[in-house]
Amino acid sequence: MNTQQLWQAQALDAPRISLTFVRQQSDALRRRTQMRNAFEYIGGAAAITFVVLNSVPLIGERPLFSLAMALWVAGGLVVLFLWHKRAASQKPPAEFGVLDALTFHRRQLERQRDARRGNWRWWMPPYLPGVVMLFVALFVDFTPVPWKAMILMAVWVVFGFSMTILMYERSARRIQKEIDALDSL
Amino acid sequence: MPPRVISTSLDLATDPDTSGQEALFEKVAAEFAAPLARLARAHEADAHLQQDLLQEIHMALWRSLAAFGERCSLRTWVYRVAHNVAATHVLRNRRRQAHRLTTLDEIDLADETPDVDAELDAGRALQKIHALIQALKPLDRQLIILHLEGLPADEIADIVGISPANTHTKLTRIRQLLTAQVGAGDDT
Repeated sequence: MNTQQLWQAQALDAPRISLTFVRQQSDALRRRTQMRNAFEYIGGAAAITFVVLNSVPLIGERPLFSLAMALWVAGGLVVLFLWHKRAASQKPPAEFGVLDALTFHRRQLERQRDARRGNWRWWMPPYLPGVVMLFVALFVDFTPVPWKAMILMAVWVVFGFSMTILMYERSARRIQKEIDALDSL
Repeated sequence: MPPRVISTSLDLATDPDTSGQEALFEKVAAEFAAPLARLARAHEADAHLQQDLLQEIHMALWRSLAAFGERCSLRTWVYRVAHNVAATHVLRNRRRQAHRLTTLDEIDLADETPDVDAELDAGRALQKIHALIQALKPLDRQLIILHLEGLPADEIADIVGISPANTHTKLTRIRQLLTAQVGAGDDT
């Protein structure tokens, strides 16, 4: 018996996976994905609704504050769009050759790394008009000027932005390690 | 022994739009059950993970068959999809692998002493083949598995995505390695 015959003679009790099982698993996977996406959209919509609802009563009496909130929301939407454009996962065509699939997998990792590394350069600018306008609004719309709130806000903005940058840089380093591991395979 | 059937008791209604895809899947599941099980076994030593990998391959096949436009043979299509899923599985689980994966060229033929007893013991020979496969990098794994499945070199090149000349060179190396490790002849 040669090696090919030897190989092909094994696994005589190979399980037959039924269509019903595969369809059920496939439907379950699709439902899970839809649910996860729905949660993300609902979360985003809830955050925007919260900001909008809290800004509407202030439109008359605190126009600059309302404008700041609107700029925050607009900035958030721009960042979501840019993130989707740069980091949304792509699926390889099923008929790819194996070599293509491996290259594709590496490219996806590089894409995710690049979307995170130094990404403050593109996500911070859309938020800046909202930040600036918020401080202007606090200074102009409120009497007396709420210095304590402004300092707290400044600390919160610096802390939030710094933590986001650190989180993304850490994530980029983790992905780089995955790419290195892939190269060493 | 009749094949085991992995199924559920759910009775899902048949969608007329997918009936062609379903018929194709039934054909694939029947025709390729054994090669796909061998493929999963070659890539994954753990029995439970083997089962997961096999199911993952079938799921990918089910989804992919909607796009199968007979641009290639069904066999080429099935092996492309299955090997892609398996390669991704290897990459995903690389942290679990204690050993460094190697290429066909890195294995020194001179160090391989033919085991004469292995020719008499199919179980031991298969163990050696599996050990060889699991030591290889994904691309070389695919080549050796497809060769063992008896596919012609041109079809292997088409599935894997490398040139026919490169495939021929690698297959020659694979035959030498198999002969050196297992001692059994090879007729292609």
